Amino acid sequence: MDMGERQPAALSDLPILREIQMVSVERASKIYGEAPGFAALDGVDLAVYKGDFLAIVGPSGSGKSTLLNVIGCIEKLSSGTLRIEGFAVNSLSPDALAELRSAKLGFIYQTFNLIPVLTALENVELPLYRRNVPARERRQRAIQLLRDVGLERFASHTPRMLSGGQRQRVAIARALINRPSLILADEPTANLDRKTGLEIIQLLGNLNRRTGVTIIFSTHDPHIMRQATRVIEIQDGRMPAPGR
Amino acid sequence: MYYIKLGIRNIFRNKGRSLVTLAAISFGCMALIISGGFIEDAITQLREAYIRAILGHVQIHRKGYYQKGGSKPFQYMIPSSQAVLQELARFPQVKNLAPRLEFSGLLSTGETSIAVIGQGVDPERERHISTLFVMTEGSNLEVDDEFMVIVGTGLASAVGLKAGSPAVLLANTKAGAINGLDAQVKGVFHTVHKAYDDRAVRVPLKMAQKLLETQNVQTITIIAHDTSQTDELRSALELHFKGRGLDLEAVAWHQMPDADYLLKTIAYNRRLFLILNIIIIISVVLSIINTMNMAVIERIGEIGTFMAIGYRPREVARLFLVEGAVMGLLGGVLGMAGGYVSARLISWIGIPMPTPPGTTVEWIARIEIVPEVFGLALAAAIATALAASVMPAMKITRLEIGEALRRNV
Ligand SMILES: Nc1ncnc2c1ncn2[C@@H]1O[C@H](COP(=O)(O)OP(=O)(O)OP(=O)(O)O)[C@@H](O)[C@H]1O
Ligand SMILES: [Mg+2]
Repeated sequence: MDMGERQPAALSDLPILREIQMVSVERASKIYGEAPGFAALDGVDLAVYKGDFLAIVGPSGSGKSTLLNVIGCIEKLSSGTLRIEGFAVNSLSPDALAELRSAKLGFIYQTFNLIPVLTALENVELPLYRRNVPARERRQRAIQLLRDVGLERFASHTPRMLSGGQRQRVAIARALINRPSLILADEPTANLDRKTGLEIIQLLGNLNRRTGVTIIFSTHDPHIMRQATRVIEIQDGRMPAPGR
Repeated sequence: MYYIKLGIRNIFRNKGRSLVTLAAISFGCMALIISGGFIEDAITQLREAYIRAILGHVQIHRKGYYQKGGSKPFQYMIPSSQAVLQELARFPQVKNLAPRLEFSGLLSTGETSIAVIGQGVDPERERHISTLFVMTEGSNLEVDDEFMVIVGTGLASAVGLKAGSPAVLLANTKAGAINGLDAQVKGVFHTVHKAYDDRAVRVPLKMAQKLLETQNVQTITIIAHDTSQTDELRSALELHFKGRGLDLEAVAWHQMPDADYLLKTIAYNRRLFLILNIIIIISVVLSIINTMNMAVIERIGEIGTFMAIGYRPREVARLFLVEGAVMGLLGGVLGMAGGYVSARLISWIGIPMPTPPGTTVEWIARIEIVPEVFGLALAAAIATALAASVMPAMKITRLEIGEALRRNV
């Protein structure tokens, strides 16, 4: 990946990085609906370190998406604390959270979530449109990222003209364009066949190893979770083995 | 910029629905342009018919004529010398001008007499003033006519006069005596103003001056090159009179008592247009609200994606506002083009219209191309589309991102 200053080495192995908490979740609960409501997260404790390639696994409905949305500052916790790079974000305004996502986070989804009226290249550029990145630089970064995910030739294709695996590669490139320090991927391989899914997760793994970007992904596929450097289980909104 | 690009692409995304909405906007626009052009044309035709048969653009009188001239007509005379006319003709706005001598009198046929408003006119000069003065029978006055009169249609039928009928015209002289002159009806005329046709008699200026035993006139009626020059000409004349210390006043057509009916008709028509506008705009608004609502609902998942990757709710809402405005612009431009073409077409064919109330002529309606109405239609289209997008866009700012994202299946 073109991350400039960083060297392609297994940065996550450096002991010093193991000390820096990228994400910290303490006694986190998320209750849906009216009281008493449904606890999708029920007292979760989790620490994610810089350079982690972390898999969150659990059966359907266990709260994986909810946890990723909470860490991604997309859903608010009902109680508990969330820290990103040591900074408590619970009390931030929606606009501040948007800025935080725009500056620090990248998102990848099971459903790809590309904008159908934009080309692959424009989809990759999309997060930068709202930031003051000059058009030339924006375009260059997007083309480089498409090259990195092997889709340079498909820059002018709209999502509808791409296969599932290609779409997910575009989504990965989009998640990287703002040079995030944390990427959240909610079942990135669930809509892909096994071979393509494996390619995608290996692409993310390589990315993690080469650049040290922290990646958290969810899955319930054993082949996929095997690629992670750390696996954490969630069940009924709880973590049987504490994630610390 | 990319907001606009995205807006245009999203409009073409659901072609069928956008087409219907664009059609609603552009038909609304066309309706504004056509109804506005129609009403403007009706107003113009009516106004010009008044001006170019009865009022003139500007009339010049001795000061106070309107206030007191009726009861003491002889105290408000102005000399009708060629010098005065030539001086006035030097104003660049003046196209034609003619003296008039007005009086009230009786027209007697032997069997009956009827009160009339007499106008002594200079047949040659008046021909260039009263260009929309229509002879229905006989012919108009000419320079050599001496004891000839022409009468309005209403008056002619009230007392049974035809071209060739003899008649006696009676009026008070300046000295206070009653004078009478034998004359022959040379023709019957009509104008746009029924009340005028019921009472008016026009006679050669020389005959009127003989009847009233005066050498003067009361009014100099002026036609400008264009109606839009009226007020400018009036001010210039007023300034001129003041500078020369002349005891004269210049009165614009819209200040004349006879224009009252015309002005009310204009105001009435403009109000009608306003009401029509509101109705059209409301129906366009409803159509756009519906479209934008559906666009927002359909794209909730996408909106979630925008917000997840860092767009503020307001920024996403702006996306939809721009989309609405672009839709308004497209519809407005289409509507202007359609409005122009259909206005031209309708004008080319012409719509025969029945006589408007208070007038006596049938007329052919056309659609005037009014730049202001085109501007109004375009502005209305954009503003309407934008305003109609506000409510759907507001929805976005209340959206839960997580909820929205779950719509992506
Ligand atoms: N808005 C909501 N209102 C009520 N309940 C919700 C809401 N969103 C999620 N839930 C519930 O919370 C629980 C956790 O949902 P979540 O989507 O996090 O599960 P998941 O582990 O991602 O499942 P899957 O593997 O199927 O994606 C589920 O039981 C779900 O029904
Ligand atoms: Mg899920």
